[in-house]
Amino acid sequence: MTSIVAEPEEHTQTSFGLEPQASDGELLLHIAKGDADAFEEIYRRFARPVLALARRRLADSGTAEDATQETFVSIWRSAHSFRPERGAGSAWLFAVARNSIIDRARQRTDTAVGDAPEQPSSDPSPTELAEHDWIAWEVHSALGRLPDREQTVISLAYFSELSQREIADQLELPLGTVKTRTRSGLSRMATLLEGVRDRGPA
Amino acid sequence: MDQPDLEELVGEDLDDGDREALRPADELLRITEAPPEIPEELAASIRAIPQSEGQPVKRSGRRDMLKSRRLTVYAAAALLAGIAFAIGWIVRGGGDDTLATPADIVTLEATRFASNDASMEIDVFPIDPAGNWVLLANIEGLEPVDDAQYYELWLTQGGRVAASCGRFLVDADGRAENLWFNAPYRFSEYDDWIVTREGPGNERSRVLLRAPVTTSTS
Repeated sequence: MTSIVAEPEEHTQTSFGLEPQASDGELLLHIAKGDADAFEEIYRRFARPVLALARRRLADSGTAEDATQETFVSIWRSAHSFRPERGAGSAWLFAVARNSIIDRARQRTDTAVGDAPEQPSSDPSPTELAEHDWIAWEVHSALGRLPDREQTVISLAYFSELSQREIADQLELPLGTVKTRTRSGLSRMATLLEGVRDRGPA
Repeated sequence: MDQPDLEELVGEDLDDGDREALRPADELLRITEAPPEIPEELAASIRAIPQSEGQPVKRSGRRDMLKSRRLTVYAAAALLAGIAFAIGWIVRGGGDDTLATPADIVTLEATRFASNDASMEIDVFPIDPAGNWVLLANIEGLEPVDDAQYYELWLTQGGRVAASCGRFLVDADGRAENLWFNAPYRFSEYDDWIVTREGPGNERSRVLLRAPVTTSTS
């Protein structure tokens, strides 16, 4: 029998005494005080989720990158409006990203947000799309919280669809180390994603 | 090539209970697409935001502070506007936005089509070097909307919507805080600020919030 034990992490602190596993909400409170290190950590966790959401909603990659940039400007400017008692930091960040993306969509001349389709469609409903957006957001941001070594093996397994043996060969690691990192990463993600389908965005 | 199954990923020597604890994360990863890589140029521009933007704007308290500050701002509006035009937009020009002061604060109030508690307050900051008015808005009391719907802030002219200033959503409590908009318009050419609800099911948009365009921002 083997139990899951997360691999130890290196501990560093920011200039504001930020713990390495600070919650998203704690990071936002630090950003509100002008902590650039906290902003860097939010970037590390959420840049890919924001860009993924923008690409899904805007299609054009240049416009999606503009919306991502604007999202992070809004985060820096407006972090002081985050209220921990009203919900999790991730949900606040999701709302900020969604607003920036909608604003970008408004400026596009070839796509109108909310245009009613002429024919019934088999495409996902707005509710289904919103649920998918939220789940992808949470999965991507949970992935961004993992130590790099765990993030790498999880990404190679699920997104590059490599076997554990192939990952071990590519990273030049023992197979057992790859499995240990996969277990540890999945364990952290299971904790971070607990109840994700129920909690929803703000 | 298919994704490996969970047993292969974590090994068969794992206790059944421990393996099942990992399954929800495994299932969510299987239905999620790979996150995109961030282009280097985008990464560099985002990481530079703390330096390029300066310290975040600090606001202690929301509505009460706005109301008390509004009296001061109205009294000094003409002077502030003159100073603002003279020294330019400090935030964009000087790289320090802690000193930015609104040239005006506009309060949009509920029409009969919205809850009496609904309102929107807009800090109108002095025009920036590019020619945009920078708007900072706080909203409360609007109904949350369906996913495809949204609210839109407009300027009107002769009873018709004439210029859009931005779209927004509200949270489950009907609030949205510190939304930034840009308005590249001459306010003196418009009559009213209004907010409408747009999107499917709102083909006949109704005005939910309204305020006259004031001369101090023209």
